Amino acid sequence: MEKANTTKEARVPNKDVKSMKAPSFLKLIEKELIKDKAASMSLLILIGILLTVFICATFLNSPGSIRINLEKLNQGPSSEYLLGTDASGRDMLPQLFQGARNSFLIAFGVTLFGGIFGTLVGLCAGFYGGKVDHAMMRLLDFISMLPRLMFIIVLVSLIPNYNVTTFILIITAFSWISDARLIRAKTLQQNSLDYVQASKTLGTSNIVIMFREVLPNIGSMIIVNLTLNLAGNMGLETGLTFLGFGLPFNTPSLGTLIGYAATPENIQRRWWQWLPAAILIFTMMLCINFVGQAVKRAADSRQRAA
Amino acid sequence: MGKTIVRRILILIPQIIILSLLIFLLANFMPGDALTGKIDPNVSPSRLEELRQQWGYYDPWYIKYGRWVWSALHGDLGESTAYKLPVLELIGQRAGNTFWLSLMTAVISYFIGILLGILSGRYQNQFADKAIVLYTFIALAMPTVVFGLMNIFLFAFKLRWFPMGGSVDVEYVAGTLPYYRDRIYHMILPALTGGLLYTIGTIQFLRSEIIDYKNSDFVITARSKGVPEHKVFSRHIFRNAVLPVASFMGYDIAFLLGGSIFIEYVFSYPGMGRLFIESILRRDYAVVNALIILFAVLTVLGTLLSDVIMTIVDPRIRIK
Repeated sequence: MEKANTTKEARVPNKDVKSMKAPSFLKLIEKELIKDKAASMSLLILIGILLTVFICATFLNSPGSIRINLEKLNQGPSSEYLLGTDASGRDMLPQLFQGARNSFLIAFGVTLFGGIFGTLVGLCAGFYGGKVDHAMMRLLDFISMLPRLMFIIVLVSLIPNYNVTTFILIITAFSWISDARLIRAKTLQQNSLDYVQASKTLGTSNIVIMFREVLPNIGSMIIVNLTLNLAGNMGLETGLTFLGFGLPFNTPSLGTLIGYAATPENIQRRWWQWLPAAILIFTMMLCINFVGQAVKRAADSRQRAA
Repeated sequence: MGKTIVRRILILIPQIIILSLLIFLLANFMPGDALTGKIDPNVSPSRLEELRQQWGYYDPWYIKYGRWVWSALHGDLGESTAYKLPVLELIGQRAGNTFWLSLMTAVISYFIGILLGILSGRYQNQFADKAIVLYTFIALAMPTVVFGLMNIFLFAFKLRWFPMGGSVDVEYVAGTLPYYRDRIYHMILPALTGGLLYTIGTIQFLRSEIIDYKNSDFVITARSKGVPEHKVFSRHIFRNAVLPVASFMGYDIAFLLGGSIFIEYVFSYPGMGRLFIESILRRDYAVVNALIILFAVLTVLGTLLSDVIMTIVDPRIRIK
């Protein structure tokens, strides 16, 4: 009797410990998404848009779909051209799909490269501290003083053989700064924790501590940051292409399509040339932000819905 | 504090030197030169070549840079090839427009931001707060150009409440009262476009500050002393939460200048942002260089201003 009691009692804390084990970040995001209806809807809409855009952009990419047709200039939406045609008689719908795909891919590329580079710099600066940190912070200070938008525009108008890759690299050159700053601050926080000191005492190599121990601990924060950056980068790409300093003219982006509205004639009478692109970029950015906020709550235990 | 400010300004000097060198080298790589814009079919290529040599087009870059710095220090930033005007005079003409537009944008942005931020924090998780949070999401997802175009479409074209663009109608005589009224009238739509978007930072900041303060010790003390709830908010919470907003003004300078490039382009507003785009397109590099350096200096001074205001409103913080 007494024996049974002790085993029962012994089992209870055991169970508790098991249930108290930190859930994985993906599980937390899942939980947060189920709770937040707006975020789960946004995720579904976003996946829907991306699938449609990528599939249609691949299959509608036949040369006929964006052929110049001089008999069908500036036509309104009809059964033949669902979203009408532009000033060269090209169908707007495939242009919209390709534009959305290009805009998303560029924003994704910028976010990814900026994230990787910023993480590397931030980790090194935060982990090594001292002179390394000092030198890197001075560099960051200098770059953040530069008027970012102006420099991007100057570089875009300057670089010969300019294409999508160079465009991504130019924006990345300025976008990694904020990532690096944030990750440096978080790494500094981790540095002061006991586990890093313990690892150092045990003789673990710096590289291993940085990438196998510190990085996983700040990983969720990096993902949050990148998700929110993604929407901002889509906006930046659209704006730059709108001004004419984005993608080359023959590669449509949502900014190119919105740029049709810069002509008074088009903005007044031909809504089908620019309004769909404007609505699409807005919807995509809104959805990404909603998902990003859910991810942010999942990463921050203080904000997490109980 | 005076010492720190002087030191910060001194740090600015090497930064400006590196920046000017960087910009000068970039400009050196740019295709075309000042003569490209002046080519006249009546001038023979050999004469052009002679002019290029005379003007030092083939000198090494460091001699050119030295010459540029020397004249810049004497207040001569070169001449705009497109407008045939000294760069300083040209920028001076446009700077006023950008200044007034930015000021109006900032006023709208702070007014809305402080009002909505306080409401949102005060009534956390109630209907007003939820509506305001939704608004911040919508504004965050709206690229400036898209919002500007939608406003032009709706308010200038459909409803005809505001002009489509420009800064003033030609019929008005400069200096008269109707002239200034018309200028303000032209600024309303672009300023609203910027203000409604840039305000989200203030709203989000105030909301989270107020929510944090709600449960802080001094507020609990005030409540337990029997201070009425509305006084707890107006005297204890708002005062603490709103003060740091004053220090945003400096950082906002960089933000407003960056945004002016988009907004002035969309609204065909003749300010520095639009001048920058035009000058790039016309390969008018003397203007481009001057504008970049001006924007960079203003950015740094803005950051400094913010740090100074911060120490004034919150004595716990001291610049090191």
